[in-house]
Amino acid sequence: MASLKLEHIYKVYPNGHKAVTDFNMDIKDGEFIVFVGPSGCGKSTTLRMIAGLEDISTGELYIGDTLVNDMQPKDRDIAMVFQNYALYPHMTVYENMAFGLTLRKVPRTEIHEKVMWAADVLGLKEYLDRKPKAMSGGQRQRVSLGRAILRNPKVMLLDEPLSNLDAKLRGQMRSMISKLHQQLKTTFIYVTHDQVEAMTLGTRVVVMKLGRVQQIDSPQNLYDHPVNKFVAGFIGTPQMNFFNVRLKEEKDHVDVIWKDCEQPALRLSKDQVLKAEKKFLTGEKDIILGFRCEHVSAEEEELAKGDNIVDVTISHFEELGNETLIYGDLKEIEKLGEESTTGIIIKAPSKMGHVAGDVIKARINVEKINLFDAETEITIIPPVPERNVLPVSIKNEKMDLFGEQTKPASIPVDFLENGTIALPLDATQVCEKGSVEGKVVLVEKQGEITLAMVEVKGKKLFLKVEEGVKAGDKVKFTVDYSRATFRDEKDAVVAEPLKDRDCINATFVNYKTAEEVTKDPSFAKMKDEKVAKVKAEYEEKRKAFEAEKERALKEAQEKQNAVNASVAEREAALAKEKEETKKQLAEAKAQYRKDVKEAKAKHAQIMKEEMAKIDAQYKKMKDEEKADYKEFMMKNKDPESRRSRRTSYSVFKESFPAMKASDVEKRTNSLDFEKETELNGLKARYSQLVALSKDKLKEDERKFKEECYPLETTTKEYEKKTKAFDKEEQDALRRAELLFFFKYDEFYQLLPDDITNKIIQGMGERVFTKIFRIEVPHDGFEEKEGALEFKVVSLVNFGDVKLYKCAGTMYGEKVNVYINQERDIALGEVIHLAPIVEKTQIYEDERNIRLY
Amino acid sequence: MAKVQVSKRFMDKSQRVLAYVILSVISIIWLFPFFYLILQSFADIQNPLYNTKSIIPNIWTFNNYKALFTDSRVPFIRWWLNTLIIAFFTALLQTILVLMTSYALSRLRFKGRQGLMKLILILGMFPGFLGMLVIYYILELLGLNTSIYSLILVYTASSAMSYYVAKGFFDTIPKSLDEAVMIDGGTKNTVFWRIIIPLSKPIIIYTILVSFTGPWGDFMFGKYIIQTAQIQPTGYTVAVGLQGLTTMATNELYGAFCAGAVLVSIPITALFFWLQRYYVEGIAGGAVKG
Amino acid sequence: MTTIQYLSLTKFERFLVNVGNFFKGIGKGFVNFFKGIPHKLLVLWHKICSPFDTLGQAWKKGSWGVRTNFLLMGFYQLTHHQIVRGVLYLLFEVVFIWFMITTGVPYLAKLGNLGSFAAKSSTYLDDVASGSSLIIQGGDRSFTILLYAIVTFLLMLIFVVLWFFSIRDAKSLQDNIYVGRYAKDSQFFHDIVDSKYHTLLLAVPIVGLVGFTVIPVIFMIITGFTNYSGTQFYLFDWVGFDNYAGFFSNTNSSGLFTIFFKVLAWTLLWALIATFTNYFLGMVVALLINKKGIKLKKLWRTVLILTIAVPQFVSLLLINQMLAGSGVLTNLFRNWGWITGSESAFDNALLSRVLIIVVNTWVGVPYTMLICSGILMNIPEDLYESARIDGASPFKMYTAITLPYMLFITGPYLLSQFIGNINNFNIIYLLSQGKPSYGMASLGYGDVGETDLLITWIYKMSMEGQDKSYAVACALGVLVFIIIAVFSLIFYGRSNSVKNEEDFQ
Repeated sequence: MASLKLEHIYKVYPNGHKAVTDFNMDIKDGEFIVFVGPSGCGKSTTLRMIAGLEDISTGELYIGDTLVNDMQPKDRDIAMVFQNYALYPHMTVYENMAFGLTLRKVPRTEIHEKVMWAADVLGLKEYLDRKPKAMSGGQRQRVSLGRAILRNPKVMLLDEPLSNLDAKLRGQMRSMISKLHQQLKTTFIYVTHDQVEAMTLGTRVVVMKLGRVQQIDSPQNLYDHPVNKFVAGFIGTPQMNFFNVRLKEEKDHVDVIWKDCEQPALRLSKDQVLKAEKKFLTGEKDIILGFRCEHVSAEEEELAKGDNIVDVTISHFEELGNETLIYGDLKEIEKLGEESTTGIIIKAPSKMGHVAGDVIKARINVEKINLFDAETEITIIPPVPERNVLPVSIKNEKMDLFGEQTKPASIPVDFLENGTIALPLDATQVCEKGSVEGKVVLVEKQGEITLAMVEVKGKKLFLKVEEGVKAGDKVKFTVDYSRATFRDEKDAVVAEPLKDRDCINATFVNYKTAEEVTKDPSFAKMKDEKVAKVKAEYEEKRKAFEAEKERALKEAQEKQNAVNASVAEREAALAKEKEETKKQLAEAKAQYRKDVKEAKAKHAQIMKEEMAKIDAQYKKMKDEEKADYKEFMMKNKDPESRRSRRTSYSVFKESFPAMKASDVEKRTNSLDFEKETELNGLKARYSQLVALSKDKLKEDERKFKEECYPLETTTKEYEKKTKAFDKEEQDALRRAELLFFFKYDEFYQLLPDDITNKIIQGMGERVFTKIFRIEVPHDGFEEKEGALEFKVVSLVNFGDVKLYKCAGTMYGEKVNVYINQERDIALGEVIHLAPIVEKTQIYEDERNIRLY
Repeated sequence: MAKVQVSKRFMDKSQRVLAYVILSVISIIWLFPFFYLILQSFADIQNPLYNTKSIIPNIWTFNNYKALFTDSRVPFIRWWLNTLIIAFFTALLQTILVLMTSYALSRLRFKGRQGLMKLILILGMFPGFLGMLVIYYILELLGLNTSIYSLILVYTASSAMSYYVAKGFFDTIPKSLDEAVMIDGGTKNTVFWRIIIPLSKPIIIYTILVSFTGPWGDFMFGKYIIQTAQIQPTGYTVAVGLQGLTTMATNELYGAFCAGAVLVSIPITALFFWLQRYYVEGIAGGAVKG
Repeated sequence: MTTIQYLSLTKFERFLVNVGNFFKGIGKGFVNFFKGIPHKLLVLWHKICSPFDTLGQAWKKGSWGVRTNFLLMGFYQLTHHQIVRGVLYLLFEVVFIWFMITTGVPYLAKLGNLGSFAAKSSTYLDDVASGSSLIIQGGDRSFTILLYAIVTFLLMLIFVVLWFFSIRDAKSLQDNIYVGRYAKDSQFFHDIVDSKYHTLLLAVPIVGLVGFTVIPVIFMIITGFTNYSGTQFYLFDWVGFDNYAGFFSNTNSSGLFTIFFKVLAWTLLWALIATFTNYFLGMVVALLINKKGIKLKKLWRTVLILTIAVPQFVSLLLINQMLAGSGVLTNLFRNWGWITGSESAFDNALLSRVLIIVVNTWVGVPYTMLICSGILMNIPEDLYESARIDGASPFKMYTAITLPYMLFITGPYLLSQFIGNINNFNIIYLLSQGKPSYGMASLGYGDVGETDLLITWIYKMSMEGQDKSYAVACALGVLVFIIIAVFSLIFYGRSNSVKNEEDFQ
């Protein structure tokens, strides 16, 4: 059982086609993850990358926190069920399931036990001796499932396992797979293009399109809160109804107007569109309205509610037994005649007496609607909004945002008339010494995040708050204006947010080159320190190991003396046992041969009887027909009926041999088939018997050797152990000497081990020739002498956040860096800064691949 | 009442008769040479009374067959054994090499794959025997030129050229079997020996059959290599020996040729019919996959 | 020209359009080819100079271990846990140097004039004339010089490539060690069975291929430029393109060109007729046997397979005897008056050519029958049913469904059969030995005859008769290759364009 981590997985084929782009996911242990999406969206490629059948262009894959990027499929401890079952046609079911374990040299008794366990879990007990071609699709799929679960792998991968089965069987197999998942508690990763399977099986579903992840969420969230129009259209049958509309914000409600119409059709309450940005509610932006067919109904008690009623002309029905889908067109839009989507699907208990062509009224349940921006097709009412957009105006050093306040010096805007300020959600942090205070209006829980809507001087915005906050509390928060974007009324950007990360280039260098260039004694000291630490660690390990060895040898010596007496007699017992098993095997062989001959004779006998029976049966039929024909001919003389009787008789004669042949063939087939299964069974029993007795013999020999010559076995054992120990120590020492540095212009910075591993993992041996772009956040710098030299140029003051702008030269060109330091630095002072590597993001500059 | 439209077969009875006639004529044309061969092998051509015009020989004799085993100029058994040994080892080695090449070319993906296939295609376009002088020289270097078993080396060396049919067969085995073994813990070697070989019984038999019958029918290589090796006449293969008989000045050994031909054809034809199913499958399946 | 317009044309206009497209296709092919050249040159240039900069890198950045690799191949690998690979490299270098010293260099030196010890070896020459023994002592043999020269060139090429590989591997090994990834000796044995399994599989076949096919072919191409023949058996010299010129220059009636042109014409004619007769007759027989109503299908098929079962040389020699002077068939022809007097069937040109084609169909039809019945089995049945519903007559069904389907599937097979027939040695040699001959044996280009193909002419020139003009045969062999290559390029191109037009499938 294991968790699975995919970090920035890219799959780029040699011809440049990007199959999978930036796939990130953390899968906890025991989850049932479903990859779903149209064909060609990269879901199978991702699965095959996890399985190791395709190599990962960049990015890291951890199975149970061991890095498996370069591991062979067989070492990743995963199992896979293929779409076309991939069973070995020439092996019986038993051999198919046991093949994996026989390759890994698992003792035969254990294999036998495991196969029996898997067989009764999947109900394949009586098919064990059959060949795959003699079994139905469902049974074959269960065999490949059995083969997979047999090795109780860390992760089970299923590649569209049910797509070759018919509908009824698919339902059964679906329930079997989910039952299997509960029973085994292994992590399942299931790929399908059928969204019904995704919704029913998955604890979490990943919707993908053209290699990109659209949304990862539980099936219910996907159904209710799709992140964009594609997910909304893909999940749920029948497809969601989509209409082009415009939103117009009124005093106490929001009007929904069909595109190119005048009067509003539907009315939404204000808090439904609270999280939408204001620009969508002005009525100029095209919006796509989407709602499920069960959220619109034509029943009386719904219509009685009176609001949001639309007229629908019915075009046709789809009766599914338990419910009926009414397909129709909205009257208002219909008369416009343009081809925008007018079709609407309504779910109703029955036809309700309507006939195609009627015009009926239907009420849309407005709470359950989805709204998407027509351009980007992304939802405008996300559960957790990314940013708050608030009106603001700035006049001569004064800013009217949260009430009148002085404009922080470094906002580069002097005059702005009713513009907007967009603040990312995490630019507004709730904390005690916040400069702005607001009253909490309502609190919502979205997954792990609690979201509070806070009102400050009449303006509403959303903030992330802790668990305990309730409506009505007072809350203080700080605002980081450096990350704000200012826009004027025509939505043109007036001030860009300050880049939150500064970029520096560096090259990757190993210890030798760094040491030669800088002759800096501290590096050598660091290296020796590290080596010394490792040496010391291995010193005591070796001591403990030696002690243990001593003890084991002494113990073995005692056992040796005790048992010496009985060695001779034990040896005799063993020899006798060998003799016995040989005899037993010979006997079993004779018995097996006899059984086989007997079975063959028996079956030959059955076959003969069967053939005789068929011949008799058909002969009788033929004679009867002949007699009936003769008799008919004698009886009546009318030429017409005689001719038709004669033709029907000749047709009978013509088709008789073929009919008989097919019947014979059918029956002999089933007989042969039984014979084959029986013979297979005999063979399997016999070979198992031989194998088991051989294994037992080997086992006894081993036990004999161990008990009678404990000293010799333990010494040999420990020799092996010491060799392994030395090798391990040597490896560790060699690795300890490895130190790597980032070289910024002249300054060398030692990198911690985990980061170096990540970089080396990503780049391989070409790491020395690559240029890396280090993106350092404002608080990512620390003062360190000898580091990069910067001159503080100016102070950027964003109210709560104070940043110093420093200029320096790197590789000859000017670089500006913003740092926020506790101690205040005088302008023009020269300081030495070094990036704190843990806080930075490291990219490989050329192909812009993120490594850390 | 309208005439009852019974099954179509009754209607075109005349067509069927015509078809049978054509087929039997074709069979006669195709069987006549062998029929004639068998008759000639019993004909006592040397006897002056023998009337060469008639197809059915007027004088029957058995000494043609006797000559095969007694006449020193026609050491038939020796020839037959030579060819059998050559054919056996060629079949063995060539099957292994052809299977290995076609498996590698069809299922393994490696850098020079396309290049190798194109090279083999181009090499196939050159007339083969022009290189014989060089091959003979190489055999001389290896000191093999005096024994006719060097023919085995000559036939098996170019076996990579005939990978085509076997590759067609290996392409039909689904790729997911390889992947299943990879995941089960096997190496590509296990895939080859434990999955692919047991599954490709038909193509193995087809290759054995084709490479076994090759040496019996080959005439060109055999004649050149044996001639220069000067180990007449016992060192001949059957093909070269019998061809030698026909080009002799007097045609007194012609009867022996017919008898020899009959004796050679019987075992090979028997083998062929025993494995006919695989041969038909190989040709119909593999050759067309092109 | 949209498809609708195309369909609206009459049959004859459509034929013209097709022909137009065919030539346009070839034209377009050439245009694309030339358009692609600049790009190809760029790629080539990049390929050429990339090895040099890796070598530069290796020298600059490599440690002293890597630098020694420049001299001692495989040294760095040996010292860093890649013993097997290192040993292989070193072994190759030693063998190569030993070979160069003992045979390579001396033979390369003589390559200029292909051996100069004419004086000494000529004394042996007359021994050969008297046919006493082929084996000679001492003196230069141009044949061995040329052969060894080719082998040396090949080895030198391989040496350079392996030398470069050993340095590149050493450099990447060093980088890996810097990065902490150490090679393991056992890794070689894991790889050979798994990721590098193809090298294990292909090693022996490729050695066989190079030794017994590639070197002979190269040797053949090169001897085309010498005057190696019966008279110049031991010492021959470079003659440049004279052999080729010979084919096209002396156009007088007894010159090489006339024979070449006649034989070439007959070869192409023969290949065309043989391929199509075999193909269509085979298909007709296959259709006949696989017709629904026919019983005893197995019998008919076994009869035809008998001809494949019996070794080809038996049946061909037999038919040869039947057509020889006193053969039974020749008597028949005499009664029918086709041939006069005592000459055999192969004495008059037209009859022998027709006979060869007939015998070729006799041999080839069963083979094509098998293939066609194989394909007939998997023509989708519903095509016929829909045609029957549309009321198509059996003949229409054949032309509309079976024929196009067969042509589409057997396109490449037809091409390979055509090439096979151009090089079809057995039929001609075993049957008619090229008779009736043109009577030009005295010219030294073999006793070429009317029914001789290029291939049999080459055989005669190089193998039979006293003064075997081997070099001219090689030149002719190269010409045959060029012809086949041109044909296969055109046909291959055309069959593609035909396929797109018809887009049957």
